[in-house]
Amino acid sequence: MTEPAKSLSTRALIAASLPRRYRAEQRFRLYGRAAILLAISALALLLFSVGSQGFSTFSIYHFNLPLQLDARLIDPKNTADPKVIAKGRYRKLIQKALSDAFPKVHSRSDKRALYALSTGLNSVSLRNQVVNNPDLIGSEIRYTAPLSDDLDLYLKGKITPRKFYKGTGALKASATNKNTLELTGKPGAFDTLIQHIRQKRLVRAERLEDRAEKLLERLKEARKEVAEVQQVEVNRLKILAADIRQKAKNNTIHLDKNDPSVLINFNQGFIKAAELSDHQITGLALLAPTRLEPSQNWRSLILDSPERARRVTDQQAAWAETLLARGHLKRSFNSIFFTHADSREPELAGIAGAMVGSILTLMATMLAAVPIGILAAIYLEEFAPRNRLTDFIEVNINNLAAVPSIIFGLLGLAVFLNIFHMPRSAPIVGGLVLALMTLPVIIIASRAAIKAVPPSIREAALGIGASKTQTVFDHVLPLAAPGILTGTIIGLARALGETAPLLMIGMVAFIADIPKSLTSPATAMPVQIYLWASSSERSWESRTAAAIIILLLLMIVLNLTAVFLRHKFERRW
Amino acid sequence: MDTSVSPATQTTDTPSAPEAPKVRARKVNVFYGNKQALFDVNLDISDRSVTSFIGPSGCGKSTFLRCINRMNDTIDICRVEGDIHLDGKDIYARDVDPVILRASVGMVFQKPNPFPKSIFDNVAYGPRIHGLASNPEELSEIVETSLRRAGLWTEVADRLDEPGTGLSGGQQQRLVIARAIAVRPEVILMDEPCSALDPIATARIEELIDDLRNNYCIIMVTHSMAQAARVSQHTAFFHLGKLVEAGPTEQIFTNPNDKRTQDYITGRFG
Repeated sequence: MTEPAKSLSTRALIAASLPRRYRAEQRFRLYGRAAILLAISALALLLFSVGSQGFSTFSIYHFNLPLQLDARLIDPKNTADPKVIAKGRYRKLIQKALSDAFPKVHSRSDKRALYALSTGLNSVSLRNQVVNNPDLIGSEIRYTAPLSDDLDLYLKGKITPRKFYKGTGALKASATNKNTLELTGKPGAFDTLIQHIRQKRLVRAERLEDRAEKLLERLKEARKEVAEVQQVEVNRLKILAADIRQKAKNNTIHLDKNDPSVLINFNQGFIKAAELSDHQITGLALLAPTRLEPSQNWRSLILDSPERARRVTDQQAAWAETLLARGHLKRSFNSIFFTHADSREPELAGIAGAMVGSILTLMATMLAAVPIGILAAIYLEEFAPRNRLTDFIEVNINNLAAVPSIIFGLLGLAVFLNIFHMPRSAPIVGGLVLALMTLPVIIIASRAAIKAVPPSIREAALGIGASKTQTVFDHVLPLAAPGILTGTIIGLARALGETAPLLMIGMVAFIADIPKSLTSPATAMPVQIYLWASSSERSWESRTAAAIIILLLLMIVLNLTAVFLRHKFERRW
Repeated sequence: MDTSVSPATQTTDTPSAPEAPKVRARKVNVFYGNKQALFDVNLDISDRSVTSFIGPSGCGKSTFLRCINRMNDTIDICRVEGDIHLDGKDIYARDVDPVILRASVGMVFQKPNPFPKSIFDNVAYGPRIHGLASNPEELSEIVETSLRRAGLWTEVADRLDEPGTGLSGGQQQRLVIARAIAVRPEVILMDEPCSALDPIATARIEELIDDLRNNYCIIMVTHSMAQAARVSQHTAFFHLGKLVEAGPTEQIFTNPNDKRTQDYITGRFG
């Protein structure tokens, strides 16, 4: 009779503990889901930030401008000698093409600003085009070089948003003096613009007041002498803010250097507003209108960031807008980015040089590390006797896998460059250094894969008289292949993304040519990313992101290959 | 204790009684590191018959079996002392290559272990590496005869290119036997060949073993005393690393000399 009672109490005990156990399990599942969610959102954030930054680089504004290949500037004596043609004044030709587009630009500084729309380096590609095809001399061609990176960014709206407002009612223009125009519209025609400027001024005033407030907070803890100086600054800021607020109320607004730029696009001209009221604007003609007759056809362009705070002047913006409107600028696929090596001009810089460098480096790594790594793993796992020496080797291999990669770079510098005098910045050296770094990873992964092959397969082969080598290469290796391949590809993918060791052996140099061999100077993708990321110009930002996208794509391709090979070679036993 | 029993000379009911033993072991000691696994084993095994090794787990019967084709060489810490002769030749002599030895002493393991290759390649692998066939026709002939001998031909003749691992357990074990036969061994060692199989598959393997004994010297380790009684002509009983008793199966099972043998076969320990 005790037996059922006892089992009943056991059951009760278990039942009592059950909710706790289930709760623990649920908690654990929750943690797991939370972790995965966190990982996925981090990945999504990374991809989004890189993608949104980088995708604008895949298209770029190109010129689509008629250009006269004037024989007088290329080959004045008509020698048809390639050497003479190569020395032609191509930069001048490009400048002439731009001048032809805007014939009224006369002053030296204006001309310089206009010529800045196309980098001087573009003359190289124009020269090559003519040298390869001398028959073009004397004819008119289409100039298709990329627009200067700053203006490209401007047109993409990355410098400051290009806000266009369509004009209402007819606009009348009259010239007050040589370059100044007075535009008159119906009452309230410029209300939107005035509202916009006022709002921006209020924001600016608020910001100044905020700064004053914060300074005042800190003032309480400051020493007396410092506090006195700071009090003066606070007062200055407050007066400034009050002044801005006051000025924002005026009916007629005088635009100052901190205000947004207001450009009126009227009869194909651009007038930069200096003074505006609800129906009248006085301003400088950046580009003279074709006619002064009243016209319904006008619009205004507001550039929020003040002119002095950006690299594109209002004058250049007006030129770019005009070229765009005339169809002399076209946005299209940025093939330069995929076919060129590095350049000091962002619009001429490409990832191809670094990509070829990376591929050559990875090839050298693969040729050195894969056979040595796999054979070493086979020897250590299948043939080597177990003794102190092999234990020591094993411990060392495991430790080497954890050595910071820059140490391998130092080793490469000391051994390959200083002792063997191999070429600096060469993919072969980079590949060997990365091979040293990858070897332990490959060996460890291969040994694990070989160890995982069931001993029954070895016994089966040995049992019918296969030699040790036949057993390993006919049976163990094919079964271990998926694991070995996965480990190898993961090791190579790591090598592909490695920067530090390459810095040490000089693969960080500025290299403007696509490397042609294992010994020509090269750089690698992660190094290129590092170089661009530390450049100051804004355009490098999106190019860095674009390079990261390409590197990530390469990584994904490598990893997919690993998955594919794994599935292909996977066999059951 | 009589450890130098010679089944070949004591046997009266086998036709090949006066023949010299196929395998002859004298004073075999095996060590795993410092631990001794076999103590002074002396045993003669006759050709064209089935010899069973029985005994409780860990008694050294598998260890002794693996000495006969030097499979123990592959274990680093294993050391074998004493003499084992195959056809009067010392297999542990310096000039004997274990590869050649294993080609003439085939082995079948407890768990069927076909290669993860096609059925054909499984059987053809041995002849291929030993160069037993000079052309593809000869090779497929060897494969067919081996599969026929192993009683598997009719079941797999139309799917030779399918993986050997896709067969059932019993078929896999027969495939493994075919693979062993394909290199024309003289001795076949079987380490509990039926312990992973169901009774029907076991019966087929036993039939096969019975067939094969006309051509080969078969040495089998088994845990099933019924199987030893059914299949083998000679039986050797191992206990704690020592060969306790060996002789004709009938005598071991009906009239054992040693008390330990009697206790074991009557199920008093084991």
